[in-house]
Amino acid sequence: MDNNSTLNSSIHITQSSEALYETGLDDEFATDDVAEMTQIWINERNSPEILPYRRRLVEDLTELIEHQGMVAMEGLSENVDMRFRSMLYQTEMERIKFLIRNYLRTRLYKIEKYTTYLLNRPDVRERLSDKEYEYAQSYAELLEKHYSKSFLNTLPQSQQDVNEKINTLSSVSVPDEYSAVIVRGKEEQGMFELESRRQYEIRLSPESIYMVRYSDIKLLLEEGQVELI
Amino acid sequence: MSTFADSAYKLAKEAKRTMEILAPYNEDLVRSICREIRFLCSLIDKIKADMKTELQQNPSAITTVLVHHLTVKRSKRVLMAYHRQRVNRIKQIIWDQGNVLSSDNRIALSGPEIDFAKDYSELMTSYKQNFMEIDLGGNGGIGLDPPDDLFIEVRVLKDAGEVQTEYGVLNLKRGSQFYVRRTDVESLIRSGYLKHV
Repeated sequence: MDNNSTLNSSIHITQSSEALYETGLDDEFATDDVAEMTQIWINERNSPEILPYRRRLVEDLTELIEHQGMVAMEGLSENVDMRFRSMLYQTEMERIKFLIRNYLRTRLYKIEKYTTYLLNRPDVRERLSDKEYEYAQSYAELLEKHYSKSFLNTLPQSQQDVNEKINTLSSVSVPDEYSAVIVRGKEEQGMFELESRRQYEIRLSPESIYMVRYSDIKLLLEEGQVELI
Repeated sequence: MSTFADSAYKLAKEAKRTMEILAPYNEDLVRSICREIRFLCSLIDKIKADMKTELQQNPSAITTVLVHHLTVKRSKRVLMAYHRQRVNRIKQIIWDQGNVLSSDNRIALSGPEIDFAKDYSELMTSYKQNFMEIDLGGNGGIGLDPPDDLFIEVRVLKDAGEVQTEYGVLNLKRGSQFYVRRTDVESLIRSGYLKHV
């Protein structure tokens, strides 16, 4: 009886790892994805502007969660070993879900904050996913409608525009590229000259951490040479 | 007669004072600011029309136009800021608590704000549907806090027989220990059968 159930569970394990393999998500792959997602999330949280959307990563991880959910369910009625395994799966899944959830919500926050700016700049707009772009558009419409109904439509024609610009004061919020970020090099890459202060150089390596202007390391971040912390 | 931009100043102060809460919408003040803007704009238009007919441009008229214009712009900025702050607050309530239109809040909202809240809820829900697996939260659902202790270790203090959970049957015999989902056993902990260790 006992032997039988052990046998059963081992079959299940093989099946699940095969299924994992089929979807191209073998163990090593998945761990890399989670580590990458974690860094992507940290970067997104810490950068003043919105970063390119990582569609592939989010999709892969979502798929993985879906699959693991099934594996975890299979473990429900099995013996103690399987149940324990299933608990570990669940806990890990909750962590990954948290990462993705927080990542997407952080992006939504930035989208709502800088809607007009995002929509007006084709190069920035590219960084949004299709769904995010739709969201930004609907949100902009919603806000404009709201302002208009609340007070703009009672103003004279000349004052009805939502976006104002008087001298340097603009009603369009723009991410502050000069804000400070804390950054660390990924590999040993020698010295890097700061654009804002030519005489200063920072050393890019995993051991050195700097606080610099976002605009100075923007390109490095895009190229994946540094990570924010 | 009150000074121009007086009501705008009042509204700005009110906005600052009510940063943390959703205060009743100040329709009177908003209306009077709009009225003032309309009045100033008509003054500006009139002066400009006069200037066209007079050959010589009058420096005092130009200054008046400038001052009026700045007043209009400032008042408008205050209106934008006031409404934006409220919108942000409404959005926050929708994400954290869900129903923004509870009786408490409803009296604080203006008509357009109620519409906005409804539309925004819809927008949010439709975006969330792209990520069913993840559950983005909102509507008072899951928050942005990291998950803590999904499972906990419990010791059985009193025999409770078999308990059915999502994870199968637990045989709760005194002295035994289990690693279980927190939500499954919370009531048992409260009633003293189990102890969180």
